[in-house]
Amino acid sequence: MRIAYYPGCEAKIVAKEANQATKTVLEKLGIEWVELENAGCCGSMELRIDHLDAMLYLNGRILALAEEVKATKLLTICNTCALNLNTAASIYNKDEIEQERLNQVLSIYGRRYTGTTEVITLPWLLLRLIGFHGMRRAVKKPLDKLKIATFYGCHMIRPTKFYGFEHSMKPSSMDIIIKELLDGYTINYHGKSSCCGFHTLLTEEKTSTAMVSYLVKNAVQGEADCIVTPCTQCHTVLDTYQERALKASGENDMEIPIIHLSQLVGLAFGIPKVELGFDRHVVNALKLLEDRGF
Amino acid sequence: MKENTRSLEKNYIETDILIIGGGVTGCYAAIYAAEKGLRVTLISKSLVGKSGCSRHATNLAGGPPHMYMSMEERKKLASISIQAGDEDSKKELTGAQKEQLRRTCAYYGHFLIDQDYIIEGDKWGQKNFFDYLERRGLYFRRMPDGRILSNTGPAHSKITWAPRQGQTGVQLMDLLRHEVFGSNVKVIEECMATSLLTNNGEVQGAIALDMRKSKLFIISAKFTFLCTGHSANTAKRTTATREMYGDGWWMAYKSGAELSNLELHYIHCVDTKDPITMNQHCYPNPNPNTDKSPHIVDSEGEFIFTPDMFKQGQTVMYHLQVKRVIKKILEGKAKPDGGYYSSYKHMIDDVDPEYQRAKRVFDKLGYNITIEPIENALCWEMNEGGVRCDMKTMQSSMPGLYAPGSTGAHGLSAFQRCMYDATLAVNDAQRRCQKVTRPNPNEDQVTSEEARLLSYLRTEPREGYRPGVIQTRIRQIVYDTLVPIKNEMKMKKALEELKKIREEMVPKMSLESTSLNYNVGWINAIDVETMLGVSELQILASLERKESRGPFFREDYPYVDNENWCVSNIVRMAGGRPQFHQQPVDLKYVGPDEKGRVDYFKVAY
Amino acid sequence: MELGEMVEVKLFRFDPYVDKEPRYETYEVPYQSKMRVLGALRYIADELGVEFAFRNYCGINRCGCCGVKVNGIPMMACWEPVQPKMVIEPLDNFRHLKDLVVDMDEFEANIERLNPRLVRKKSYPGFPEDLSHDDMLRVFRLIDCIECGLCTSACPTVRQMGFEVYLGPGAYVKLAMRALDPRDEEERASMVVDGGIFHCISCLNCTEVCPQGIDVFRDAIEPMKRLAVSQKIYKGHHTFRAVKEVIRESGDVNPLILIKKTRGIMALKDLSIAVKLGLRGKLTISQPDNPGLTEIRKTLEAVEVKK
Repeated sequence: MRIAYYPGCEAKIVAKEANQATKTVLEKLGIEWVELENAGCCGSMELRIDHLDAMLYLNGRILALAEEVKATKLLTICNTCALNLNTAASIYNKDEIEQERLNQVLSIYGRRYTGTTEVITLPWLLLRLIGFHGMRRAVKKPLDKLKIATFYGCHMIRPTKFYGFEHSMKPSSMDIIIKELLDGYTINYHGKSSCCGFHTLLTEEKTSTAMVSYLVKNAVQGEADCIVTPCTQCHTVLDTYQERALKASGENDMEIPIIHLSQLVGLAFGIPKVELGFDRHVVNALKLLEDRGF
Repeated sequence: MKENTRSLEKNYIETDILIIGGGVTGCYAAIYAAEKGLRVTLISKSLVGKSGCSRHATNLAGGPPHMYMSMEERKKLASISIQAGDEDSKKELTGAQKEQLRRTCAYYGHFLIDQDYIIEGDKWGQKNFFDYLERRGLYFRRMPDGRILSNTGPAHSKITWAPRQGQTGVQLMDLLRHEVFGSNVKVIEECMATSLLTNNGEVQGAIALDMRKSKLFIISAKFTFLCTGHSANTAKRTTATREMYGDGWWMAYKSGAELSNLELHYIHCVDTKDPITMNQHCYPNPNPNTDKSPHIVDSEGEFIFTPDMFKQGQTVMYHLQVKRVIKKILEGKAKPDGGYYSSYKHMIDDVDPEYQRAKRVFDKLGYNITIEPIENALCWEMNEGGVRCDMKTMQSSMPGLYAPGSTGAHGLSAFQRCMYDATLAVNDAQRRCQKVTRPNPNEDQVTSEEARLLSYLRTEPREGYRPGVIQTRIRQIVYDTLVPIKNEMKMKKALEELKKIREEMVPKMSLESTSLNYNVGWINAIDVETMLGVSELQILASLERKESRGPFFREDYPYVDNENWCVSNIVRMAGGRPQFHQQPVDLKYVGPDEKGRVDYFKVAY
Repeated sequence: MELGEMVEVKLFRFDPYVDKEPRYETYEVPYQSKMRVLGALRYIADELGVEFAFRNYCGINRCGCCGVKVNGIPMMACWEPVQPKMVIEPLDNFRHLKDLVVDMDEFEANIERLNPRLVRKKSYPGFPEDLSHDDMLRVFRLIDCIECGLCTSACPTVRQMGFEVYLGPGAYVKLAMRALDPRDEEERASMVVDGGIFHCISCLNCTEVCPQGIDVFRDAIEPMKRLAVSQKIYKGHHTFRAVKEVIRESGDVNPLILIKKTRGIMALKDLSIAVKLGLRGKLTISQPDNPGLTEIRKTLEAVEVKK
């Protein structure tokens, strides 16, 4: 199986550990991946506001790049990249007139899009493309010593019209992966499908940190050891701003490590934690992992 | 019976116009009166604009002819005056106008409505209604050539929607709601008027119970407008919203006003049977951009009704559908609550969710209208009767009390006529405002009303009847008795049953709690008394009218009797009991062709 | 579900006037054909006589009054089918009055604050005015709004920060209906900002729960953000423009560069964060341009021309 891989800006700099972990996991699963190195930024939520067409065309180009490497699926490990790529795909994969308009621009530099790229996130790659047997074969170390709070992040489950595979407010793909494929343990808590607050970080920070506090407190009250997320943006804000957020809401001693899904899967596949970049986390994850025998 | 001796917190308000009800009539009247500088207080049993019939109104008829023309055609007409209706006092009707009047009187009032009122109301509507709404932002959907979305077919039966069929009332009422809130009108929502204040045979305001905190409002007003709509939720299946028990009628009756034609209650045929909670699915009647309507068929697919059968070109033909369904029920081929169906196969491709809402509803419910007809049930709908008024001022037989809109006995309502009524009432109020003064409210009336209301606020007896359950029982009785086939025996039996409820169950009625916080049980209990009173009046009125007409069918009098019953069937309270008398209707310009008796099933009115 | 089966309802009850704390009462309701949540609630009220407070009027998803939370998800009781087991609770984010009834007055006040009435300054030409459906397309996508409040109930910003900070998505749908109407001549950009729209975290809950299928985020929230940013009224508007600039400069977006462009000296506030990130190798002051930069720039140029 061949997939196109688009890490997104967050994974290239701040969340490099997720980039590396994802590639390691893909290798272990025997998937051939081609990184779209000349893709560039998807524009995040800001470009949609500043110049919607620019976002659509830039993402249309990325879809075309994926098509060109003859990959059926385009994997991204950032939820907002998934949202923007899917927004573009929902137009350019279906509307012939809009596709033609895109191609007029792509032709300037000799590219073309025929509307076949499908955007996919890591949980769905693992659950739907690899599936039960492929995953079980690769598991070397069960995760049963960890109590995990799964955090999906908004843009991989909403809106339903782009996704629809799982319930947009009660998602379960990661829980199934962890519980049934990786022998792990997930907790029930409010906030599983809530928002990390990333997108107001630069403009209304208090609102962002309020989201972080809500999530973290609920996970801790649910007796979770760690929070696992498939999105590099969610990870960044939950990890980097955790202390500030909790202090602002009056919690001085609370702390919970935030783990990338790719790192978690890597652990289950027996990859040593030093190779998965845990040392780059702001909130210390290494101690937890050591205590639990990883 | 242990009486609750608590008393309620009282708020006294003084105002020029008290408007009871927040539907199209109440809202429009409030806005109009406030613009004229009058002090207005509007109270609403539910939330303004959110309940009642208005929000569900779908078809808007009576537009100026040029609105259905394309942009090109309209521009050509620009130099020619396109105003409909002259202001001159000559009442000479043209042939076309007479025909239009005849249609309206036949279909919306079965010849029992005031014809001058219809002429003036329709003129006003054509000139003002669409203008008023579009000016404030209501969007009448445009087609690519600039014409307003409508059905196809002859000019006199054109219908339009804003912006699609099934959503018009929502847009219209949200617009009016926001206009009310942006004006000087004092609004109190979830505040239920329970009785009118009277003084020397005049109405001077009302007593109202606030549902949220159980305060008692005593509102003294120079003029009181009943804009409470009708009573359809007294029946088990109804297009009415929850709170509609005919409160306004009951208060008017108790205060001594005349009501008329309460027995003439419309019935809808093409509402889905299941789920019972969704009796308002706004079926395409007619379907936008076409002239097609659903067919009604029996369980074998045989036609019960198609619009073509009547060649009238009239689109809202509910009572014609009712006649046909009644016939089938009498033949044993349908039941009031099921056993007959509406079929969309002939219009499937035209049922477009862009233009109408019904498709989404069918999809949501999982009805596949391409392959299966949908089981229907009869629903109580709007009334034609109500509080009897002077048709030039909307004042009832009680000075100070007005009933514009569907609360009045003005025939089947239309949005335009509701607004026209409101205009008449407000204008009359303004004319008289300086000269009218009201004394302070009669404290005996306040005390006795407070005691009446508090008498229901009790948790004793412990094993008593819950008012909600009593309401369900009343609704079943009314539905079985009045919808759609009536006869003397059934109706007398129903009166006995209602009497039994009043005498045996109501004294044993008790609530879960005597909390003063949003006590729905208490409101239900107060509503039980209203429902009993109104249902009794409607059954008695039905017993009085010894004929059939429009949606009103008696199997013991299965004929229309134009010799004796082209009358208003009037009731008022005398000696504590309903007293009926009849008054002939002035068939001023048009009338039924048949002068004597004629088979109910053989006429189209 | 089938006829003959029972629906189990756990109903939230709480009257702050008389109860010390909330409780859940369990009822069994016989399933009726095509039964909605409302049908189950009406059975409990009308057949069992339970006197719980609950607003419902039309039964057909038009009045917007029967919003409740069923198994944690906000929905219109009259519109959604019953589930075999349901926990039914009042909507979040609104002040609770009793049982399933919440106070919607604040929701209404929020709508009022953003002036939901059409403002014409030119005189109205008379019916029907010169208007095309294309003129009204953006309004048309919002026109099904029944002011039910579900979107606002599902909004995490309203939950965490309250109406004082953000009026909620519902008020913005009503605002957008007028702001996007070519006939409206009110100055709307400042009220957009004052209502707190930039506290919207873009979680898309509002779009998900709308019972009319309105894409609240795409068709109301984003257009209103665009209005304020394009008129440079919002204090943070630089951030929105900066992303395109950085993309044009280097193809990928380095958060440090973005902060530098938008915060300038204010970035010093984030020094502690920057230090934390730096210590873990999570920051790069400079990085190589993306190899596709030429094509990216050509794409942006082509789009500018279209603009």
